[in-house]
Amino acid sequence: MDRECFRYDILSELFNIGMGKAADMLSEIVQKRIALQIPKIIIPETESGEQLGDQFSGFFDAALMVSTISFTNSLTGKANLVFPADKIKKFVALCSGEGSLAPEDTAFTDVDFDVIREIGNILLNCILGELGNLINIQLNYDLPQVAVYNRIDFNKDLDGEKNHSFMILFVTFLIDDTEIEGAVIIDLMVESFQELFRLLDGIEAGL
Amino acid sequence: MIHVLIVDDSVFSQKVTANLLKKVMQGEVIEISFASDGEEGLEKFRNLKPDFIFIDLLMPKLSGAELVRIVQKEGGSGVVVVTADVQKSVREEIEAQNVLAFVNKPLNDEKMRLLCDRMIKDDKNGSGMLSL
Amino acid sequence: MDTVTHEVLDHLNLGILIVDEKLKILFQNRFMLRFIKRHSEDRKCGSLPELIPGFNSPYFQISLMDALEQGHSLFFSAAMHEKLIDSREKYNIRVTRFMEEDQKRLLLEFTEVTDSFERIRQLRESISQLRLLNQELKQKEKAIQSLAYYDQLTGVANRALFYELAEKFLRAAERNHEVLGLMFIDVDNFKQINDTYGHEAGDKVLVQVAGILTAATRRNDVVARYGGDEFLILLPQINAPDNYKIVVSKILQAKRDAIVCNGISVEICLSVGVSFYPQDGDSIDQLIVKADRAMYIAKKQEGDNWYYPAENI
Repeated sequence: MDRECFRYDILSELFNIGMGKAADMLSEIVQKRIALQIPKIIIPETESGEQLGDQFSGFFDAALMVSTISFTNSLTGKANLVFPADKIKKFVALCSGEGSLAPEDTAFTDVDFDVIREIGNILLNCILGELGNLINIQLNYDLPQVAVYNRIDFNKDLDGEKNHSFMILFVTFLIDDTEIEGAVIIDLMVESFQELFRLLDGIEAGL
Repeated sequence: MIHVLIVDDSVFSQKVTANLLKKVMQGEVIEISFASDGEEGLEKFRNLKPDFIFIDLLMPKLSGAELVRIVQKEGGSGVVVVTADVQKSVREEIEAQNVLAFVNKPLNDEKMRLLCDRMIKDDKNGSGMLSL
Repeated sequence: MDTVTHEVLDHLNLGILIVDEKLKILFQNRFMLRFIKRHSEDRKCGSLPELIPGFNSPYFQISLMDALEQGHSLFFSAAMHEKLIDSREKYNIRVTRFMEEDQKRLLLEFTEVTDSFERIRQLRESISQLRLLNQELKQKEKAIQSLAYYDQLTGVANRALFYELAEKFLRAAERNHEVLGLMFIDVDNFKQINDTYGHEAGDKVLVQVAGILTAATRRNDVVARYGGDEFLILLPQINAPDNYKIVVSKILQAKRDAIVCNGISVEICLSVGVSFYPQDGDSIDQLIVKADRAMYIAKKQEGDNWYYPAENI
């Protein structure tokens, strides 16, 4: 297995564990089994945010709700949890035990934002926590910020400063019969990205 | 000699499990085989007849849960489930299948030590599932 | 903690709670007193799970331990944990770890969000009221539309709808080179029924006639009440020349005993005249005139009859 494949392999496993923990906590809250799928991880080669946007236009072109945690210390970057806005209402209703939703009920309320902040915190915490454990680093971060975007413009919204690299992880939750597709986008400063790869290669060498 | 089959779609995880096994089982003669998905796992289980089989639940082709079911049905014992899907309902489902142990990933020294204590004991499925 | 800080914390419109690694409560401000059961006056009240038993559940235990170990902040939303706090009021809870000397501490902030919930409840209520209103309006709109287009007595199309559809059918027939048939139907003995048994009986007869005509026609044919005891039928796409005869014979063969009053039944006699686009005219009015004339010829004969001018030539 070449080095790059192995990096993917470690990251996938790490995200698997993080997502598993997050699903466990969510299932505890909603009192329902959450079916997990193996997350698909993508590290786009492209440097330009625009091309990146084109590559996933299907997913990122719709209205999206994004929770963002900025972290510093050993690695510097942001972790974003992205959900299509039209699915969020359903997700929130499932998580907060609300009954059926009126079809007109599409506006986001403070309560929706609160629920997403908590879910975002659980998920991103589990993923970053697992990352920290595995490569033995400490990351500092605060609670996520939650915002609604009409669409994600990679250039503007994620790649504001140059020298960033992305990791995209597509995740699917299946609660009851509702499938909710989301993505975790980890946006690292290039130096941090290199540092992460250095640490991952160190793990490979240690095996 | 103890023969262990590790079924996990992550090569990284395979290596971690194997290394921890070797480390904790020092002094034992141990042979380790690998499989990267459920189908390969089933094939190797049938051909190699290992003493113990470590199974990851989230795997392509044939899911871990399905593999556990088939292995148990075909008289395999010493099944250790190692999984990232740590939900209580998942654990309870697996527990009902009478496996040796259910281990939450990530696997570490301490978990492996407890697990090996249990593996070396003679009664493989005698005293309920070990949950780590 | 000095008295000023203490005083300030007590005046915050926010619950402040500080616990140690074992979740034992080290400090709580005055806001938190609302969570203490009445009989207990003691401000220093044991542990966090004793104060709020919901914190005993695995999710909170794991999260709080993780926060203590890893130092990450936590957020518990009121919507996800409605049963956590046993009160009508709702609180969001934010948890932050800090160090006191070398001891790990958790700071819990309780923000009341009852008002947001109430606002959302009101919003939902007004949305659902709007939805009901909208439904009512739609129903009324339908009713108004049916008033404008359907004959109130018999339920078949009225003149307005007839002309609208007739124009459409005629244009389609022109475009597709198809034959459009038109039937003019009149109740022969209508005046007599009206005079003998009264207008109510006459109305019953009209309803019955509408029923006979509707039953005799195909799905896309249009039955309309033209006025008084006169009905029109549009027969689009009469492909085979004799197709319309099937409709005519169905009309004439239908059982036409109408119970008019007190068990008295009267046989309804119908006269039918037919005309066709393009043979008999290329406007609806021309077709009506031709069919009307044919109907009059049919009427002159005794009993039920139908007549189509061309057949007479």
